[in-house]
Amino acid sequence: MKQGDLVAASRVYELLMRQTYGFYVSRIRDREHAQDLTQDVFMRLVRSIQQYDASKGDFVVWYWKMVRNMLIDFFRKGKTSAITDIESLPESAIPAGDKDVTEELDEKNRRSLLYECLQGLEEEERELFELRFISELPYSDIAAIVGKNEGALRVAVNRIKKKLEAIVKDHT
Amino acid sequence: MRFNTLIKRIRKETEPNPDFAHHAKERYLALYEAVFPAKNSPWKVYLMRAASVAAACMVVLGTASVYADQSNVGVQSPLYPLKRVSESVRFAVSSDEKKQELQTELAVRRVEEVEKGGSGRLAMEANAELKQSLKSLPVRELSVPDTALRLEQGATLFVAPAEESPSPTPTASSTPDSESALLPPGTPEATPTEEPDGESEIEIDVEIEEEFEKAPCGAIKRAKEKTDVWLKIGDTELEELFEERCE
Repeated sequence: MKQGDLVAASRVYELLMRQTYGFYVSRIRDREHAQDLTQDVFMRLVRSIQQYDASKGDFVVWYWKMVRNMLIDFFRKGKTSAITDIESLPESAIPAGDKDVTEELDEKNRRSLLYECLQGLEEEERELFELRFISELPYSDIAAIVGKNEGALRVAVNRIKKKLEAIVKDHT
Repeated sequence: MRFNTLIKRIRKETEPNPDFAHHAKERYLALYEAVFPAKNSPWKVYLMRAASVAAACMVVLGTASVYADQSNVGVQSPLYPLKRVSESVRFAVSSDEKKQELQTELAVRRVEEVEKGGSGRLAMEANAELKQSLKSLPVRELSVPDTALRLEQGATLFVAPAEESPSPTPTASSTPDSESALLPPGTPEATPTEEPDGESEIEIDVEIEEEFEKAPCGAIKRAKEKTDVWLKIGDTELEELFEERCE
């Protein structure tokens, strides 16, 4: 991609776009802001790709550090729209007109549960959960991104799993 | 609900809108092309792809040509046209000295191809090529081996096709008792003519008649053995020449 290969640039987008958007939308719980941030991060990627030095580390780690820094900047600028009710949760990609009443109720229940799950996690746990389960990054990459020990991360992720399972059990 | 199901649902909830994904990609790639214009302009991408395809084709065709040339494939082979191309390239890049040798070598090849069942057209080509080969040799600088070689090649060319293809292949009567004639200069290329008695003669522009008069006895003898007839070159009967000088 650094060599000006358009095909490589396209491939990078295909590989990272969904995870990036998922990470942002899960963290800030606002589709529009998540879309803006996702768009911005890819624009920054193009402008700063020449600064990436392969000898200093993996591209994915470098990219995700950039994603994370942009989120920190976003919160620092106070653009966050903290979630207050389940309506603020991201809407499903399925158009509303295609669902009947029962489906809508089911979806509300489901979103309520998801909201409860995410709310039940600490800020640091949320980030770890999103990087691991939404962005689907390997432990080694997450360790490099957040600057923590891989073993400690595994323990933390197990703790998160148990916490979420307990929330789900209570809900059902 | 199990943990894995929960994760799947969360992932589904956090999937991007397809319209957004599409437009964001367009903007991203547009910026990328703007930042790296020289390497990604459409004509350059097209040219690079075309160059890659052309290079691949050249490698394949080049390899096939060299193979066809080195293994001297026959007229019936699909690689035959490539062999001819390779020969032309070899000829074009040869030094002047090598060109003469090569032209003779190629003429011999054509003769062999005619012998192996080439078409009448190929025989005409072979004849023309041999003539060109003979003409291109500077007469005054001819060495004895050159003269001998040409004599033998000429004999091979004009006798061999007679058994395979009667016309328009340049032929000479190949019956042991008949006489094959290489007629005087002036005719642009070999032309088979039908005699009333059914025997063919060859008219050919031979500009090196005098050289044949100096041909060594061994060469004349080998030409006789090859053709099984005594050749006549212009007004020179090789049989008489042989009797005068070699017996």
